[in-house]
Amino acid sequence: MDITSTSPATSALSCHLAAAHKKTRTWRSSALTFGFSALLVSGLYLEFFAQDNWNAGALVLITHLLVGLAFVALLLFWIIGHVRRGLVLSERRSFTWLSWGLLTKYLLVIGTGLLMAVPPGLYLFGKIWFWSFEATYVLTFIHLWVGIAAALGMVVHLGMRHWRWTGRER
Amino acid sequence: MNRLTHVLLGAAVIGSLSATELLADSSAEIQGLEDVKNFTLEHNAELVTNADLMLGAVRTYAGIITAHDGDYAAAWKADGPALAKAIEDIRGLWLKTSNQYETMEGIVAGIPATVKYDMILDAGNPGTESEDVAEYDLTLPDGTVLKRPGSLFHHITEPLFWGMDPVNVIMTADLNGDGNIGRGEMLFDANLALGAAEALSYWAKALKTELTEWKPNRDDAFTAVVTMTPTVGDYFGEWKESQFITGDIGAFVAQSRLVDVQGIMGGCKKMYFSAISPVVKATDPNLDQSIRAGFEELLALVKETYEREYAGEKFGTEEADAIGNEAQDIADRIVAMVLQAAAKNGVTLKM
Amino acid sequence: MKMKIQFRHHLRWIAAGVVLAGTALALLLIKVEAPTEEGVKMTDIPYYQLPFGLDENGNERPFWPSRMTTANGRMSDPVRIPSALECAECHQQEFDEWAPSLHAVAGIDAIYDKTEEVNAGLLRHGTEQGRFCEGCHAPGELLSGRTNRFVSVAPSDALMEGVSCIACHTAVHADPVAGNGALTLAINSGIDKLSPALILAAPRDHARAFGAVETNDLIAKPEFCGACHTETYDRSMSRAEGDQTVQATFEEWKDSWYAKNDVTCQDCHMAPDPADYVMQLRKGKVAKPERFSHRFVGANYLMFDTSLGSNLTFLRGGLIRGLDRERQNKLIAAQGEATKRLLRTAARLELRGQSKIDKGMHLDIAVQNLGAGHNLPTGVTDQKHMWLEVVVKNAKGETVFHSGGYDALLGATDPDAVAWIEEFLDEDGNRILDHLTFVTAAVTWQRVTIPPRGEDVVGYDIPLPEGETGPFTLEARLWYRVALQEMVFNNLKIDMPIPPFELTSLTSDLSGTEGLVQ
Repeated sequence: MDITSTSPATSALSCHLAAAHKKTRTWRSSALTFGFSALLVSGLYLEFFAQDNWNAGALVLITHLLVGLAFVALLLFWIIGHVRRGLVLSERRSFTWLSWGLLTKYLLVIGTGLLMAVPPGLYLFGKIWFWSFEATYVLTFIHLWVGIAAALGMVVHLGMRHWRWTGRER
Repeated sequence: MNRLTHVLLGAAVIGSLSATELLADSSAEIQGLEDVKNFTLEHNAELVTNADLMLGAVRTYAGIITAHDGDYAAAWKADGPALAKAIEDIRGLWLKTSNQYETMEGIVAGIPATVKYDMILDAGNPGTESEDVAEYDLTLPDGTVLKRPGSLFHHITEPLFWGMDPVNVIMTADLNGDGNIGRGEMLFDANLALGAAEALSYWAKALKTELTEWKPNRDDAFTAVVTMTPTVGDYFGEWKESQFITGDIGAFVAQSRLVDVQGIMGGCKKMYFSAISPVVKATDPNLDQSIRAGFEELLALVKETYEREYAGEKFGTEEADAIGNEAQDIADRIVAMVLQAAAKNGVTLKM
Repeated sequence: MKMKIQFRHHLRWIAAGVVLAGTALALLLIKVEAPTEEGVKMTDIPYYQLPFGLDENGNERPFWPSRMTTANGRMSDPVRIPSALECAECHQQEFDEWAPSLHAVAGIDAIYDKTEEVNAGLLRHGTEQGRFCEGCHAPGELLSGRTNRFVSVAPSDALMEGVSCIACHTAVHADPVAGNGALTLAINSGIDKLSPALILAAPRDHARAFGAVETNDLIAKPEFCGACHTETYDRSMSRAEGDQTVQATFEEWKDSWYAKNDVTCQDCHMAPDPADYVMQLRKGKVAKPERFSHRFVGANYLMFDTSLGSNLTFLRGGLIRGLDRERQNKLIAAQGEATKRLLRTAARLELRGQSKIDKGMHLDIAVQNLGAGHNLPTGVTDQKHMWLEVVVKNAKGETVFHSGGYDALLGATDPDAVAWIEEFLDEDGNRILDHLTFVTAAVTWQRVTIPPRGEDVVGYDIPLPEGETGPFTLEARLWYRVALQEMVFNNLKIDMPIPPFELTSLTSDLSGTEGLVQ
């Protein structure tokens, strides 16, 4: 089964073409889904509950940062091929636009996450620099709410039909 | 059976070893308490010596005034340098005497039998106050009796010798001969000075008699260490300040000598190691170890600084500041730890 | 309808991710305990003494006679209080501004420290009564239980820092009317728990701790400053029978033009250039400063007088930690300049009237408070005082009248000078010159300080020698001094004349005096 393929009509072809990379892609996309879910849960905890127990929160934060970085690396490797393949196979404009929207959301979440990771990263190299409080609030706001939106978008993306409805499938 | 014998034998050996240790600890504590008393008596002896020397200097001053029939202006005109020298001596000896008392004040104030001496010498209020009154009257050479005049060091002699109380300033005088009359350049009331100096000498000796009868206990030992160790920090603080203050602002602050600090610190360490350490070790060996390390560290710092100063080294402002802060910090930590230990051992501290 | 195959596949991974992360979190929360109630119980501080008994509701009051307290009522743990040096790791600019300030040395400067020591020595429970002073001068020391006869709490760097970062940035309540340090600090629960790297990764927790909305709102208000810059004596910390107000800086401001125009303490004293800001106000331009500096520029010129050399280090209680010598000298000097410039914006002298009287002339000189949003002078006004020096010269330039002279060698002022100063009196009515607040029974004024945008007209009857002819000239100077010489001599045991600062001066030709032979 190629879970990165598109419509049932073209899935056989896709299967054939992508046979060599099938297993790898499956592993990557599964890991990305898994990672994103874990990041969302840990992120929500950090935002809403960590202040009650920062002894645990510190560990969650470190894990969130490390998993986040791994997620970014994996996504960057995977996303270009996925877009290239998926774009060809998307038969519905709405799906295409929603997918671009989802990609934008991911980029925003990743971008703000990386920007927020810059100060601790620099600190580890002995340089102290940080965002202003105002910038921090904006970055956190975007990271959180676009992250939640991306999670919903991903569910839609996964569940939405991207092939044109011909009636054959009924 | 054999096994039981071994167990019993082992238990007996361990038991006797523990008992020996306990006995050793107990005798160490007894010896330590003796050290506390000896240390206090040594400082009391110094107090008496310095008070007598100060009395001598005051007698010289008063003698010059009397030689001019109490005419201070005439005395100053005729014997100005001698009066200036006498005042300088009196002030120097006052600082020494006061320092000696400060060193043992914690103990004197903490023992019910001697607390009245603390009031008379250092901490008591005049009779006009409602509490902590120094219960004594001061009879002056001219027969005047001052009822409940307050402590000898702080209410009478210090303001008198430095001209802080205008009432007892007889006249201004250029004591340092620089052509100007600075603050504190004055002749003070010789009658009051002599009466107060005699009283200081008298009460210092009376305190000695009382302390000779004293039998220190564990509470006294803790009280002694927690009241005297901070004075090391204070004196080191004064030493630090003396490195900052330049001569041109005419400081008359007590110039702490590191050799004195070393002496006090050595005494505190001895008292802790012999009288208190066995007690603390039994309940909290780690705490005991930390306290011992603190004493070693502080004494090493005092010793090193003293040796450098003795060798003629001048300390820069930054270094003096750092050393002074470090010494005060270590002294504070030691005291905090000893108090923690005292609390663990149910010690009642004397106030 | 069939579920899309990708959805079916990924749903498992979504569920796995959520379940695994949720389980891990749950385990973590079970395993890693939340911090128990922060702070230290008073009963856990051995030998801590409460000589002042319970409050009117029967509750213990561990910090009395200071009104300062912690949000959860517990003592603070010195180890957990971050030092300003730690804050400086990230907030270097704010540290550099604060470090030379009076707030930074509030607990250690020699004038305070020695005077507190002398006061404490006056009474058997004097050390504990010193809590009254320490609340505002060294809140860390007070709240951690170190203001006690037997100090069983070990020191920490933060405790030496006077009014440091945490003293303001954890405040949650202030009472400027009660004063005497009436602040509540969330010093136990409010501080964050992360390492510097993690603070940088999650700065919002740090902001929640030190920039909580209620704290940020509070510290921007003058009420916050008023909690310490209002001082009232009663039997707990003095010999005053009833409430005796001795510092009323907040009250002075509250009814002023400044309060009506929302010009706050922070606006002037935390403006990047306070003198410029005040001059703008004097011109009627009311606007908030573009940023708030942590220099807290005030009126104490002495503590920034670098010409005193190492004596200044003594007065300041030592060197500033965390800054090299050169840098701190530079910062202290810069703050000294800002202080002098601010002082020069405060007042003006005006010759209001001149007339002939029998055997002399009468002059009316108005002393105007033009730049201070509180009375002039304000604060500890038994020490910080202002006086007027008036010199009248004849045509030959010879002095024919002199009032308010100053002897720079002795540091003594003319005892008959017109002075704006409080007088502390003991129970026998004798004046206390060295700020012995613990035995102060009453407070009176020589001349009441001048309210904001107000003035005080001083009249001088100037006797003139027979046959003395004009034209006469008037030279008047308004002097300010931060401490009386007696206080420095008696408490600090040094003979350093305290130089006065000339706030403003006036030179005027008196040829217009009606009826006077010119």
